[in-house]
Amino acid sequence: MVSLLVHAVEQGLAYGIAALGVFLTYRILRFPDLTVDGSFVTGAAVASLLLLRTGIDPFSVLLVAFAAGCVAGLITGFLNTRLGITNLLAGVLTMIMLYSINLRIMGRPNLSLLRATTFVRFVSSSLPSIKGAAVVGLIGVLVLLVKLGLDRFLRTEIGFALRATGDCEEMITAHGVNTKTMKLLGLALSNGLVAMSGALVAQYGGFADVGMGIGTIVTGLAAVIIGGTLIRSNRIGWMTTSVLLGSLIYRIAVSLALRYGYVVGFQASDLKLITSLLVIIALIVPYLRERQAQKVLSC
Amino acid sequence: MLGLQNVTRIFQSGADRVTAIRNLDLALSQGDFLTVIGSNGAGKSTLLNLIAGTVRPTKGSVMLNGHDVSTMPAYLRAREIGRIVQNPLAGTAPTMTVAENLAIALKRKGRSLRTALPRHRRNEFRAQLAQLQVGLEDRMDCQASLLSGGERQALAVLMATLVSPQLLLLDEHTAALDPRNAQMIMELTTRFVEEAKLTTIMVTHNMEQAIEMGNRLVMMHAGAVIHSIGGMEKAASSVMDLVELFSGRNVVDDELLLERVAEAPFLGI
Repeated sequence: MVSLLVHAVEQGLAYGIAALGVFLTYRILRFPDLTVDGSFVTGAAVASLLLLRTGIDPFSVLLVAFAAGCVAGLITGFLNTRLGITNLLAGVLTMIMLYSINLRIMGRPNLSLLRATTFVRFVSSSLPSIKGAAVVGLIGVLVLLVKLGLDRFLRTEIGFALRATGDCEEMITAHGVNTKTMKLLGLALSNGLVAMSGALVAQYGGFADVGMGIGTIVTGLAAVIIGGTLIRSNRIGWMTTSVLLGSLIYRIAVSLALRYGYVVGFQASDLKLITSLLVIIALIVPYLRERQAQKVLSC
Repeated sequence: MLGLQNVTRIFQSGADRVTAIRNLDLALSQGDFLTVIGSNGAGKSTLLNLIAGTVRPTKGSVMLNGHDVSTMPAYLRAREIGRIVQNPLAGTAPTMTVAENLAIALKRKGRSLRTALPRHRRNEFRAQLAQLQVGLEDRMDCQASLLSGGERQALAVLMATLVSPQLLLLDEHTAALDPRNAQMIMELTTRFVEEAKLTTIMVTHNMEQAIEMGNRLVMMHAGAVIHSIGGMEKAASSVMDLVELFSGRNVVDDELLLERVAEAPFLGI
């Protein structure tokens, strides 16, 4: 039970970086970006390939994955802001393109990292006595650095311009900001974080798989929504904290469901269905409430 | 400082064509305050959109400080042009706080990775908000979406003038407010414009306002300027004169007549 929870926390943190990426597009930029299902794998694929083929260390490879994710985000941004393709379709198109590209990068659908120096192996060889705690601690520190970096960025002048772009395009244009540039920037950063998360998850799990990104957008949304109901705040620091908390709770719930779900007849393959149903419920509740309120108002 | 030369703007949707602005010429000097009146569809808002850059001319050119800005995107022109629109919701970022909105307005160009809202700046903002006299200096960490329409528009006025723009565009910016708030916003606007001697264009439906404020007035109809007065002539004009001008041109519409009735009690007619 304890090891189940520890694994859930580790996964929650590692996927939490992807959730921060989804938060950046969905909540801050108000751009429902489906690219993430592809860019998550891109990060995992790039990191795995480099770890297997080069002597790169398991931390620098996260930055390379981040850069690869940024490029993926820029493609979606280009399709949307320069070629006028709607945001959802632009994301879907890039996601599908990435499926082929990810296969090209990996050379086959699945790469094992058994013989690579992942950060897990790095920790167990350098700190063998406290191996378990060191893995959690290391992921925790990485996630904290990413969170603080994102918080810091969103408090800069450019960060303010990005937030206002999601808030009110007319207003921020009237204050001298090119909203297209801001969307490109936001999409690049978001997918960079998602790809970094993919690279971390691949190292943690010891493999990269071309299908491992399916549902990244939904699990990311689940984290954003769960966190948002637990911590209601409009302060950036609290918002990102809530996303990470949401990711943790989601992973713990998933672990418990996978472990004990058979009691009520669930199979592991039902997971994505159940997650999506939960996100649907979380999305429609405020909508229905608002519709109810409008009915009263419009009379 | 601002010049529109033979500007035409045609909107086309399928087979339908609407000429919103027709061969319009307009020149503004430094410090001018121009009021623009006209009925719905006269092209007043399109005129401001052409100047702000959110609409581009089909023909003709827009000059700002001697440069042709006809094809310059709106966000670049916004570095020199401040604008307040009718809808109070469109002038502020709703999920950001009052102070954060002001921090955005402080930087019209050259945004960097510096902290947008350092502590010392909050004191400056507090003093500036106090000038608005709507109590916003005590609600700096309040989200803009929680402010009333009048408060949001007051904030928008401060934001548009926080860094003095070379040109200020007011697009019926009090039309969506109740009379008391409309008057408050108009007084604020007048004060800020006079203090910074801003070159201003104000579109309004209110003829009385159009006469009282500014040093020049144009009346628009069907995409063209049909009457233009300035200086002494404007100062000596009354609402009745303007209504007669409209009638004389056979361009009276319901809207103007309604406004005339609505204004009648104040004017004693």
